Amino acid sequence: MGRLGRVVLLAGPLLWVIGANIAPLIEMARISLLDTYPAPPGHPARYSLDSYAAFLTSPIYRGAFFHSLVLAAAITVLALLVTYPLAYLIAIRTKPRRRARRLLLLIVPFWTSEIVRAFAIMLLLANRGAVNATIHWLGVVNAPLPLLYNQFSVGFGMLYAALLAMLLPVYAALERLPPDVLNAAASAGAGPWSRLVRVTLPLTRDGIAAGCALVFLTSLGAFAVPTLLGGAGTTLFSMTIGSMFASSAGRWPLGAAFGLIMLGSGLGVVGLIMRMARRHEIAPG
Amino acid sequence: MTREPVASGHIPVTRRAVLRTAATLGLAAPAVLRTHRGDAAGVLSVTAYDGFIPPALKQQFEADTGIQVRVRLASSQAPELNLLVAEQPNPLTDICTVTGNRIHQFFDAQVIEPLDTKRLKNWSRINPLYTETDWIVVDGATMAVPLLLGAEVLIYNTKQVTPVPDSWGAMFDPRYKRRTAYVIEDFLQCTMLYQGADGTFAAYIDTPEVAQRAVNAARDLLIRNKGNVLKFYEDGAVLQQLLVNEDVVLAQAYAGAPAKLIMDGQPIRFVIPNEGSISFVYNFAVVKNAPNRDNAYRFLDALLGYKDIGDVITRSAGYASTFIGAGMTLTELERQAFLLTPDQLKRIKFASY
Repeated sequence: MGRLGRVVLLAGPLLWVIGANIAPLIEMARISLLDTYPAPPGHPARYSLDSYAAFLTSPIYRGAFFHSLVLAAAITVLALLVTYPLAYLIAIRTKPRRRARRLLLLIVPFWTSEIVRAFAIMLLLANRGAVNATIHWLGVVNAPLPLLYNQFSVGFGMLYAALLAMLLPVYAALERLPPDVLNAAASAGAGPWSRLVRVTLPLTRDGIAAGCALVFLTSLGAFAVPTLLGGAGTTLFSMTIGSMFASSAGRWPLGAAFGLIMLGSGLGVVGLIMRMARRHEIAPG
Repeated sequence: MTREPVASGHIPVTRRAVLRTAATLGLAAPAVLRTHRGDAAGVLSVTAYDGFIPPALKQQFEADTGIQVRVRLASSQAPELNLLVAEQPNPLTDICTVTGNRIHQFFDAQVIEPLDTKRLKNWSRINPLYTETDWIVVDGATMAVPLLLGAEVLIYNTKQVTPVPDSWGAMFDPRYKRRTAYVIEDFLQCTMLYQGADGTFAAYIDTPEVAQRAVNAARDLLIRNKGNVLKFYEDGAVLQQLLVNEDVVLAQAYAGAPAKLIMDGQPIRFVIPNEGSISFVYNFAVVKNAPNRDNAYRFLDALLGYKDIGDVITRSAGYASTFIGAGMTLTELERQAFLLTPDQLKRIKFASY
C-alpha cells in the first residue's frame, strides 16, 4: 500500500477520534470555564473557575460523587463474581461446538435497549410486579416488599446492564487459556481451588482487567438505569450532571465541569486497575 | 511521481482525485445541509410535545398544501430553550412550544418573535380568556397561539387514599410514607401555596428577599418530609408506571398525566387542592429567524380553523384546550379525564414570570 493509501485509510478513524471523542471534550472543557451557557444573545459569557469551586465546596455534589464511585466499584466486583463462573463454565467446561450457542443465550437480552430492560426490571420488582406477586401468592408475605426505587433496584439494574461488558473480555481470556496448562497443573497435583487461584486467574488477568475497566467506567457514567429505577435517596453524580444540562438557568458550565471531574476520576481508577494487572504480569520465558 | 490511471473498471485513487472529491463535497455541503434545515418551500418544522399536533390535522394540512410537516419532539421547556438558543441565528425549526410562564424568557433569549395575528383569520376561535391576558403580551405584541391548558393537580388512588384529599398537605401525611411522587421544581411551588405563599412569584417582583424566604420555607418542609417520597420523577410515563403498579398512591403532576389512566379505567382521579394550583397555557410561537415563516403561519391558521380543533387536540394531547366551545364532543369519561370543572378553574393561578 502506498503512502496515499495509508493516509486515506488512517484519515477516517483519525477524523472519527478527533471529531467524536476529542473535539467534544475540548468544547466541554471550554464550557466548564464559562460562567453561563448557553449565553443569551447580547450577554457574552465570562471565563471563571466557579464551577470547579462549587464541586469542592458543596457537600451535596461531593456526596453524590462518592456515592457513584463506591457504587461503581461495588458493581464492578459483583459483576466479576457473577460473570467469571459463567464464563468459565462456557469457555472451559462446555464442548466447543456448544459454546457459541450458550454464549448467545447470555447475550440475547442485551439486543434490546437499556431503557426497555430497565422498564422490564420495573415490571419485575414493582409492588404489583412478578416477584411480589409470586411471593404473595406463595403466602411468604402479606404486604409487597419494597424492591423498587431504592439502592437495591439501582444496584440490580446496573449490575444487569454491566454483565455483558464483563462477560465478553473474561470469556475471551478464558477461551485463550491453553487446556494443556490446566492439565499439567492437575498432573502436578494441584487441586481445583489451587488451579483456579494459581493458574486460571493469573493467566486471565488481562481479560479481568479489561472487564473491570469497562464495567467501572460504564457504571460510573450510568444515567438511564439509575434515573428509572432509583428513588428519592439514590441520586448519583451522573444524574446530578444530567439535571444541570436539563436546566435553562445557564448551568451547563457546572454540568461540564462535573462531567470532566467524573471522567478524570474514572480514568484514574482505570489506570490503577491496569497498573495492578501489569504489576502481577508473569515475565515471558 | 505521477500515477497512471487504472485501465480497468476501477476508479483511480490519486492524490488529485481525492483532493478534487473533497473540494466538491466541501462546496456541496452547505447546499445539502441547507436542505436538511428544512429550507425548501414545501417544508415546515415544528418543535412540539407529544400529541400537540393531532395526526389527522397534520395529514390534512399536508394533503391540502403539499407542505411536509416535520415534528421534533420536546418533553420539557428548559432543554427546548437551550436547543433553540444554541441554534440561533439559524434555527432548524419554525414553530416551537412555549408555556405561558416562559414566554418572556423565550423572548428575552431572542428565540421567538412577535406573532402577526392579522395573518391568522381563525384567531377569534380562541377563548379571549387566553388571548386577552398579560402573560401572552410582550411590549404590546402578542407572542403566541394559546392551545392547551396545563395545571398542577394532586393525583390520588381512589381505593387507597381516603377521604378524597383536598389539600397539598396530603402529600406530607405519614400514612403515605414512601407512597408519593413529584417533580421537585413544580411541587416546590405547590408547597409554597400550601404554606400561604405565592407560588407564582408574581407578588415578589420587587421583594426578592421575601421570595427567597418563602422558597427556603417550602424547601425545608420538603426536606423534612422526604421520607414520604418514593420517587422524584421527571417523565410522565414513569409516573403512570408508578400509579398503575400502586407503588405510589398520591402524586403531583400536570393535569394531562392521569388522563390516560382514567380513560383506561384505573382507580385514579385528580383534584385541584383548596390552596389552589399553578397553571399555565401551552402555546405555539413562531421561532425568530424561522426559515419557513410563511409555512408556519399557514399551519397555525389551518390548526385554528380545523373542525372541532378544541376537542381533537384535547384527545390527542390529554389537556383541556383553549378554544371556544371546547368539550362539546367529549364523552363524560373524557371530561373527567381531560377537563377541569368550573370550581377547579376558580382555584388555579396563572404563572407568569
